[in-house]
Amino acid sequence: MAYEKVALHINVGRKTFIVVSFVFMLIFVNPEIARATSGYVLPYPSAMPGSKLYILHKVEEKLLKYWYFGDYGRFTYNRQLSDKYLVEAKTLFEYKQYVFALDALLLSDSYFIAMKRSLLRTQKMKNGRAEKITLMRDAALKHEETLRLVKKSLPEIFIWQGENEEAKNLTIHAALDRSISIRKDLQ
Amino acid sequence: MKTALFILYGIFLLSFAFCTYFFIDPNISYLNWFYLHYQLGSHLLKIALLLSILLIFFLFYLFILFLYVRKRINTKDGIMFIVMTILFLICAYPAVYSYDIFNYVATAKVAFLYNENPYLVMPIEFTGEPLLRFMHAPNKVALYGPVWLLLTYIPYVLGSGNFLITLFLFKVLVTIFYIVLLFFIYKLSNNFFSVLFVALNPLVVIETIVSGHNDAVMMAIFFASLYYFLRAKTLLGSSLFILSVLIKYATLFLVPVFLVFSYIYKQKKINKEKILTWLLFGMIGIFLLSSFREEIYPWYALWFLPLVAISGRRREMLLAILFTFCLELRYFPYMILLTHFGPTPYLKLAITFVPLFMIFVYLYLKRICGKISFHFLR
Repeated sequence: MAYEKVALHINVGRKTFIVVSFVFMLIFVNPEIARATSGYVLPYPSAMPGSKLYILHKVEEKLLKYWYFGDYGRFTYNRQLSDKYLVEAKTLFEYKQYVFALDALLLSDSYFIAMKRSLLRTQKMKNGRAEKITLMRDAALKHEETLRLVKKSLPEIFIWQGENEEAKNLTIHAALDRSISIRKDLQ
Repeated sequence: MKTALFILYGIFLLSFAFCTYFFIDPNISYLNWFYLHYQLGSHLLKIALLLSILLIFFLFYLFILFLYVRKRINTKDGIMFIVMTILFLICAYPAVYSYDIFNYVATAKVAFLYNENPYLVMPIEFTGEPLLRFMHAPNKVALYGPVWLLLTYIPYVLGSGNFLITLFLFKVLVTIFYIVLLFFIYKLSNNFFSVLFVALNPLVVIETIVSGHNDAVMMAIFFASLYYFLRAKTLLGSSLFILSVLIKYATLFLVPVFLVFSYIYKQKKINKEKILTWLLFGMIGIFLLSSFREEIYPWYALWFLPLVAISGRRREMLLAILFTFCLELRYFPYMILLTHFGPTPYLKLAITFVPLFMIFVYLYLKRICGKISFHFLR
């Protein structure tokens, strides 16, 4: 009887071990997925290059720059535009519009850097600064997650030849890596 | 008798001002002495106190108006009553009925201390800001126009960072415009009764001098614009009108009325009284429409009450007095039930409109049936 009890215990212990190991594996086998969980939400894609509305959006952006004054206002402005252009780049990559996508990515990077600068300018004692820093880190995490996801489905280099133009190499992975490193600096 | 009335009214105002300090939020550390040493234990007692104050205030108001109509008191006495009301109640604690004054201070702080755009950045974003402990709507961006925001720079700067001084300076700012409003009511009506009708109305006094709502600012500038419009000073009138719109936007609704009537008035095809009546209809319209935005707040009565004063007939004035009383009662369902949900909105609706509806029904019946005798109710 005692032997059977011990065997039963071993059996239960083995089952528990297998379940725990399975859960552990699910969480840690792909550290990239686990690390990239972020509650930060990116916006829906806006108007894309080529659309008539795109020009209007550009004008709106220029005008809103003056409306979003102040450190926090400027922070919000830069963060929203960085998000917007990241989503634009992602969408354009999916449609294989690599030239436009890389331009959008560059814009997203520049707004991301501007967002960081707007917080650096803020006085350290200013109320609410810590929450903005947390928000910036969340945004960086989400951006990195998106960029890594996009990178997986894209070629490293793409040879692009426009009409009446010389062919040029689009170093897509390098551009994405640069964008990721900009985001990583903040984490 | 006049002296006795002055003394009694003074005692009432002083008691009212004192009683407001029973309602200090415990999170206002600047005033916690009052909270710790000076409070009423029972919640129901507080409600009873506010209700009594309201009733007594309305009785004083009606009595003073009655005495003025019967020529038992003169203009000088009326001015004395107004001065007393201002001097006593400017010292009252403002956040008894509404907490909007904290939002005014917070918005000014966002703009002038933190140098942020208050139309984009909410006070709640400044974690650690002391005002957040007792504000009731820190999750709202600035609701009022840029002219109001610019005006708040004056009390904010003069307050030099002291919350209490700033708070009371906001009340002073609003009270100055209340006086300006009374001045233009007199200029437009040439009748001191109209001034008394607005100046001593408990709703106007509570919402303006006690609570410091900026509706009086909007209406003061609007009345100034009206005054200059009617004297054919169109440029000055229009500029002031735009300024009034940029205080709280409510007068924006009057733009078509203003445009049409300024043209017709110039052609001498319409008289001043008709214009005032149409403006009154316009303001009552926007007052009723305000329920679609959030709800009808008691202080919105300031949008039409001054127009009733200068263009209303005796019966309309009496209806307005009854309506302002009902509007002030709107505070009580929440105070009693301590919830904005459940029966509270229905009670508010009933309190506001049922008495008025009953009066309308009575007047209608009286009109169609001649003089009705209600002897059977006696």
